[in-house]
Amino acid sequence: MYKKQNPYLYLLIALFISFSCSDPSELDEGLVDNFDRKEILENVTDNIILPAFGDFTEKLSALEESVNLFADIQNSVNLEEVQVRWFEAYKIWQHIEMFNISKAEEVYFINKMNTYPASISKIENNISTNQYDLDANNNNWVAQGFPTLDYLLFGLEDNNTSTLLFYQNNVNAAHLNYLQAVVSQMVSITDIVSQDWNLSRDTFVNSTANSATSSLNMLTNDFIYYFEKGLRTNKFGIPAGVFSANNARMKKVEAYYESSKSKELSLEALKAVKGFFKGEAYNSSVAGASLKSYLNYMTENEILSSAIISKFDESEQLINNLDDNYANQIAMDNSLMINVFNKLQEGVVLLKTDLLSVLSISVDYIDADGD
Amino acid sequence: MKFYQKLIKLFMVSIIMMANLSCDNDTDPIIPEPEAPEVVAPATYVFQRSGESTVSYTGQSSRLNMSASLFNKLNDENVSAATLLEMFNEGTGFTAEDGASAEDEAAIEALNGSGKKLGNKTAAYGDASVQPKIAGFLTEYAEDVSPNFVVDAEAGVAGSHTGAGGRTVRINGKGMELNQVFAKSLIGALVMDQAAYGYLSATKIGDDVDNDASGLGAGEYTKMEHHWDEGLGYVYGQEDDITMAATPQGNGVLFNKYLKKVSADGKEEPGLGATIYDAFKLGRAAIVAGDATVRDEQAEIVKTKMSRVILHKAAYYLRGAATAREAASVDYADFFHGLSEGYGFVLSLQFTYDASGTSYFSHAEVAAMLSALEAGNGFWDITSDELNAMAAQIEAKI
Repeated sequence: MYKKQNPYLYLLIALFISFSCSDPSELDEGLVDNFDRKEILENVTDNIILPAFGDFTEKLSALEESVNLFADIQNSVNLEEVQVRWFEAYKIWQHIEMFNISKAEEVYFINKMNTYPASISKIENNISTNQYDLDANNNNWVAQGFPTLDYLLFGLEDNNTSTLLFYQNNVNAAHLNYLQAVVSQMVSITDIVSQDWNLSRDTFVNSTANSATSSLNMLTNDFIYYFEKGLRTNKFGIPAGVFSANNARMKKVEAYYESSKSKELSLEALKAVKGFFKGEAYNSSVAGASLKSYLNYMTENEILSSAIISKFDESEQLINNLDDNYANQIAMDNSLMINVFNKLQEGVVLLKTDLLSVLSISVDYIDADGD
Repeated sequence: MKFYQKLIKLFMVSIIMMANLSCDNDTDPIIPEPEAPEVVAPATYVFQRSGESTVSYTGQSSRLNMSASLFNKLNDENVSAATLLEMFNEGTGFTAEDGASAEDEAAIEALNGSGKKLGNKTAAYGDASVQPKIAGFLTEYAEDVSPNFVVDAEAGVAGSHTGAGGRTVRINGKGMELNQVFAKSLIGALVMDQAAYGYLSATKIGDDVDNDASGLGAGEYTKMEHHWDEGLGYVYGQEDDITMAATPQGNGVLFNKYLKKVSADGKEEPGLGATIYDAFKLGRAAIVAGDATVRDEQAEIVKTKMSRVILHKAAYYLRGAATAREAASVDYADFFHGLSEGYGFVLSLQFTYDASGTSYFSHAEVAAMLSALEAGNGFWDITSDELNAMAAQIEAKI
């Protein structure tokens, strides 16, 4: 583990110095954090969050368009188009999920878009009763968003031929309606969050203090929370059985019904995490102010930031060795999934203990008990 | 130099004095009876006879694995009560999860053929009403909860509830998550009960129990040795390596999992795990050495210290639930989940063992607490004041 750069150590040293020197004004040297937090906020907002939302919104409307087309004409080309659009949007979603902040948090954006596994019984019950509220009822988080589309597009039947026959059958018109309802809910909630980002951009980047509600504190906490929960736990830990007495839970793989895509989704998520940490603009490697540069400034070296990036890179290497299909990977050799979990956990320690301590940001969430 | 000289002088003087004293003593010298050699525990829980291990607790491992498997089934939609009761009472009918590895499948198959059962070992030494109550959690889950996954749970209505934090619980009409209730109840009713009132009691390790090792071959054990190991097996039966269990890995879903938590640095009682492990070790060594005093002392340590895990966690989950309840916006899924764990630990209190050899809370006292938790609409109704008061009652005994 990386040795902690304890801020109290600096304080202690400073106190020590203050006793030994005659001029008390020297005390402030090196103590005050003069890093311009606004630079990070601007870079992250303007070059990562807003462009990612822009791209995501486009991908979602393309998905919606394809679903509407499929609702009109059920043929194999249109079905495949929906499936392709679904995956394209799901990939970009991996760049969005970590920003569970302000409006997104308020409207349970993340929960509604990507709570998995989806509940087949809840979905089918909603469809057969036609009585459901996707917006206000928490219990419907498992019956909407990408995982529900995964089920509706890949999980109803074993292959596309059968899926197409299913949707062509008038008896199943309610399923088609539900498909449209789910996508339209995804579009509208994304619009709400996306618009809020555009409106609140200035307030957000100007909130530069170091308090529980200031922008960088929330952003950093959300980033680490996502790394720990969204990436480490949900994509690897839970399906690999880390939280269920080592009993693997294949059905809890992200995109279970199209699990040949599960690896690609997790790699995209890791890419988003790395990009955010390094301050790289969305879909580019041009870097600006970031947690990385802030860390380097505070520690006056790159030891910690490099250690963190190494954990990302090592995780990526381990992921690259996995089967594209995590359900298959779990069945073949689950220990490789657990290895990824463990490697990501090493990253969690650096982020949650060392990074937060150096930046003097307090953690705003508590660990679940794990069971 | 001077110091040493003084010391030597002092030494010589004392020898002379001692010699004088013995000279004054006219009576026959008393030859002290040779003291029994002090029992020495091995570094780790390894006991052998002619080079082969005499430690065996496979039956306990099987039952712990059965508990974990059954615990997992209490997440499934539309399970039948008959299936769950077969697993519990007959020790058969276990199936692997979808997509389990070949290794996991084989392990589950082995359970079905193990000949072990949970039902007849649950609350075996407790009040007769407890075992049916625990079996009842299985039936209730199958009949009331598992067909109701699509129903939004509310007071008096079983179903699913998803909290703001994203946790989904499947609960009965009182807000109880029965998989948690079941597993935490077994921590007392199976593990604690079997260890404290079964295998580490006078009936199983008392002086009348066979402990004659003469004529035993390599790897063979006496009855008493085996009973002691079986008690140990309920605690550590799922650890990968018993020699490392002074700091338990916490494998499994029952006692060992919480022993790890409670014993960790900064938690309720750091080092408790090592204390229990050491007592198991020394007690077993005492049995081999035929030292009944040390054996019984260590058994008392194991039983009273194990009880502390249950006391700590019962109080912990009740306090946690009280805090969750007081939050500005209550996450009911987390609240129900934690309180369901608390309920099981409270039920377990009646199987604890205190210095006087009885449980810290009687069956009647526990029954009163459980009734308070279940009253009316149960967890939907309970207040943080009631929860805190109950926690305080438990903390008073820690």
